[in-house]
Amino acid sequence: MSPHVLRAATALLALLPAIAGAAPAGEDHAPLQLRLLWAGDPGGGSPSGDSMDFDLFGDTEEQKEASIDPTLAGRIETRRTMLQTHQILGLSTLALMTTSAVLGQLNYTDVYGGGGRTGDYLMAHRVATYSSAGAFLATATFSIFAPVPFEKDPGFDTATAHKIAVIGATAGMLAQVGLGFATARAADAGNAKDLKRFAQIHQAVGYSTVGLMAIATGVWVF
Amino acid sequence: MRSVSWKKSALVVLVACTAFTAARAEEGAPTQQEAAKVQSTRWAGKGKVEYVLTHKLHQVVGVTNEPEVMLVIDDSGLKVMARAKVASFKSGNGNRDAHALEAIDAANHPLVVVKGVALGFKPPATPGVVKVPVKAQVELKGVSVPRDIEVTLDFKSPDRAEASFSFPASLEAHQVERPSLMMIKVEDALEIRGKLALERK
Repeated sequence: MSPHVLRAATALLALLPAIAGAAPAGEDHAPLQLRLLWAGDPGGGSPSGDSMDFDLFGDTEEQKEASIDPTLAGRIETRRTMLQTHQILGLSTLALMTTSAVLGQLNYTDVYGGGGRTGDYLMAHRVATYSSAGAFLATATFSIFAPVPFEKDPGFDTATAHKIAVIGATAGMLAQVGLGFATARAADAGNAKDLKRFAQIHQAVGYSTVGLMAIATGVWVF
Repeated sequence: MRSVSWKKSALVVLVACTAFTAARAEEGAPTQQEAAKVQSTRWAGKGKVEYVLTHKLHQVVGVTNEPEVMLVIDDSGLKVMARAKVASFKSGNGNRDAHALEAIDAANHPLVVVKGVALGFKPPATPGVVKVPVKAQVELKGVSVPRDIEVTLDFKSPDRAEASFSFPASLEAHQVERPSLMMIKVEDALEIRGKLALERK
């Protein structure tokens, strides 16, 4: 082959990429090299089969991992365990408080409502109230000390209503303790009138406390 | 003699070039088949996605207005990917939302991702509504579950479309421990629905 033919053939070969790179009508105008990259790009290539092995957002592994907080998992697990326990203890507390109220009413009727002053319900009411107080304290502990891994949006919601009701119930429980001391003093002094008045207040506060506890539990339904 | 040989060579190359260019031009001319080819387009979208969760005592609707959607349509069909931060779903109760994030392990899996493919899909030539059966995969809590989703695409113009969809999902299929209220677990089945505005990029 003459050197001229060789030279011409070389020129033709040099032209080939430009010719091949010209996009056919109806396709994008990316040069051949870019289009080859595009076809091999899992992030944005054309659908090939029904494989889901693609990422149209083109996130890198580093970007994906950057959005993960490895320290959160442990706190979340602890919080879930503590709040599940809180839920079980809370329902148990409500049951114990209701029992206390029923026994308290029976005791009140026995002592002040024309009953035989037998004192049959006194010990049972006392045990139920102490148990309620213990369960209430334990319930509160599991809620107060639970870690908070996610920030909550501010504003009034079910949890706010729950907290308000629980604060009211706590005040009721503390008032019952104060009333207990006052009632005991009145009993020691032999002041029957004061004793009945304190018993009536104790009864009203007791029912209110059970009511607030029921609200604190019931608000979760909404 | 040498001059004749050079001319011959030049003639051969010229003929070859002409033939090659003619062949390319013929290839480049749009045949009917090629005219039917779909130009590759990319679409991006935003909108609203909701989940509806049912408990014996009430129903919960969680909404996010921060989903991201990317869609590719070309001659082999449609490919779509949508994602949203799980923390962006709001149900109107911050405490419940925090519990939801705990249940779906948002610390390690902060995104819910849906990928789908509709092979052979071709956008309508004129504006209109098309129902597209999409073979999809829903990833929640790092667990991918295949799901057939029918997406309604309303092409408003060559550059604008609206997508709407609704499909059932299962919490347990994604290994999500169902949260309970009053010791009663929420139902396993939930509904995912959404409406997205798409724009051609």
